[in-house]
Amino acid sequence: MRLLTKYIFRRTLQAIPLLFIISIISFLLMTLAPGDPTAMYQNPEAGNEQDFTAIKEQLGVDQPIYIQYYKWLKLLVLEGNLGYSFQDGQPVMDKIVSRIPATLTLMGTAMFIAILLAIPIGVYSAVKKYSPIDYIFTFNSFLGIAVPSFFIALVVILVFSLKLEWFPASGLRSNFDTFDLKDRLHHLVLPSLTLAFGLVASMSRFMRSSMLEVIKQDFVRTARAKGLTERVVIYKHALRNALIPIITILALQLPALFGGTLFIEQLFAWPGMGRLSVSAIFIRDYQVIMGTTMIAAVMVVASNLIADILYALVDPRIQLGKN
Amino acid sequence: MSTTTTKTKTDTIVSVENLKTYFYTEDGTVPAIDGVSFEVKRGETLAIVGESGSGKSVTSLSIMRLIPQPPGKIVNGDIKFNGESLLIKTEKEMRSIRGNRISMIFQEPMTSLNPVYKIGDQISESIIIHQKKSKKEALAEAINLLNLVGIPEPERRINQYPHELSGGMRQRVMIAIALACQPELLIADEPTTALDVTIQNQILQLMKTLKQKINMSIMLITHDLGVVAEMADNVVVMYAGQVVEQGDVYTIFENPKHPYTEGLLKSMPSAEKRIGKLYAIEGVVPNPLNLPSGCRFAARCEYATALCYDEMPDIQKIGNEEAVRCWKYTHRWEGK
Repeated sequence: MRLLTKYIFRRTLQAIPLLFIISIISFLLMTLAPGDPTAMYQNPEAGNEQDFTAIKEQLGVDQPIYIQYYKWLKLLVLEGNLGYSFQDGQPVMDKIVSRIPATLTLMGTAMFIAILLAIPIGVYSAVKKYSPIDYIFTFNSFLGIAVPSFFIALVVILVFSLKLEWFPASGLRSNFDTFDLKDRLHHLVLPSLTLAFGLVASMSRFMRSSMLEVIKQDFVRTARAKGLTERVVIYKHALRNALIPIITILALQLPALFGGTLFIEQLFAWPGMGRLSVSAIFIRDYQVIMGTTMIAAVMVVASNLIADILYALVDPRIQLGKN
Repeated sequence: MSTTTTKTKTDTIVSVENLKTYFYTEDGTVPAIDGVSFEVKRGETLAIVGESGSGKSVTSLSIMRLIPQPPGKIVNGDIKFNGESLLIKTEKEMRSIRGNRISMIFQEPMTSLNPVYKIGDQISESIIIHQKKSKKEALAEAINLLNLVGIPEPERRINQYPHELSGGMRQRVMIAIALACQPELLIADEPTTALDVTIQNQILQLMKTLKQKINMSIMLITHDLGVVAEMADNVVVMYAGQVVEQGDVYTIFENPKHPYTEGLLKSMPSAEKRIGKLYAIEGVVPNPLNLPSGCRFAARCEYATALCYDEMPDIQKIGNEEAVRCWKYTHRWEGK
């Protein structure tokens, strides 16, 4: 266990330079993009550009990029402060903290549904390779990978919300007075399923190929030769081995899932970090953009670390912290 | 060479009768086993010899009914275990035989154990299902078995994973798993091929000792004639899916009948005689998708005549226990 603590500590230290580089790149890309926080309010025909110089000065966006970045970094490192929104002056941290629960609920639910469906689908497809049902799953997977999630979202809203009126098309809740679990879940169904669809599509394919790889291994034959039932052979002996590479893939999927929530939150008016981030991009609210980007980066780095720890838990051949 | 004292008990434990196991691939039908017959007697060690692709392993998997299906299928013949046909048994009945009354050990000890489960769990697994013992009893039994196969500190070993053991140790664990329920027949498919020579000998000696201890029969699949000489009572020589010669180990080594057996023995390196270049049988095994209609060995045989290319010889008895599939030993033979 001490090895594990040391390992986590070491990995956290290693993450710092990585996050530093991410912050520089993001800051550069963001500030070099056309437009600035005042652009939206400007009217070229009115010729009132000079009115905005005062605002620019006040926000500090008139200064060279490296100074802007230095100020941003100094505030973060010295005070742990992500700055203040250009739009309303509120601390970026507060804004993000208020949005994180919604995003995590959505992502977590989508991930949970995806794992719950993708593993059995992948196992079934591998064991019954080239059966009609395998072909149906394969077709569905290609659909899920090929069709962008925003399009699926639109179809889903059209069918289940507008036509059938089974689920609400937008928002987190309708009951604003008290916490109503049923109401919340009702709102969660469409966005989480839409997000999960793409995930199931790719994860079940990975699961299928991983399982196909494992079931031809010698130890699976050994398990059969012991007289074990096919169910034990597949779900005990083969599955645990097949899951090992899937953990890495799960961790690699997380950034994609994060990207996916940007669209899904926008389309379903889900008040999460994705939506915060997208609206900040539209109005060039540099502080909020940097804040959400850095939080996303930290989450991705953390999930990679978690994947490596899980890896060591399922595979006894891997020992963390040892060379 | 082992003595034939075990021959006093002559009842047959497994008899394979005209077995045909075919694989249906996209390129065509592969007759991996094409009419194979032999018997394993109680207490004997039967060696099945042949080169890669001769059908040795498919024979053993057919007995276990573990041929992957599709593409494989047993299309003809019968396999009897203690007089009962294994081919008409249900999957459930077969499961109660596998790992219990017929066990198997494989060529690759490095990959034959599941990397993510502890040694103790992998041994006790078959004890739990076949002998209906509790997990605790089964683990105690696993410790006994590890002792039996000569693994030091079994109490510690049961909590280790396969990657913490050497190849020889893993093969001992495989043997412990196979012997967990004291099987009547142990099928050993090239059990020492992947091990280095000193470990090979240890494993063979261990198998010999244990065979007597629990009075089982061994069906030993190998391409190593040294192993045959060390272990076998009787020998079946296979070539391209057929039995070409069978007999007791003395006769096979001293007086081989089939030109293929002769060639195999000649290509064995010897520690006594230093010869320049090792003898090798010319040519290659025929393509299983396109087998000749005559004798399958004819193209590589130095005695082959027109008859050999035209017609396939039947396997026929010579003497008491011997049989050979070769025109040389028939009245139709006109060659040298």
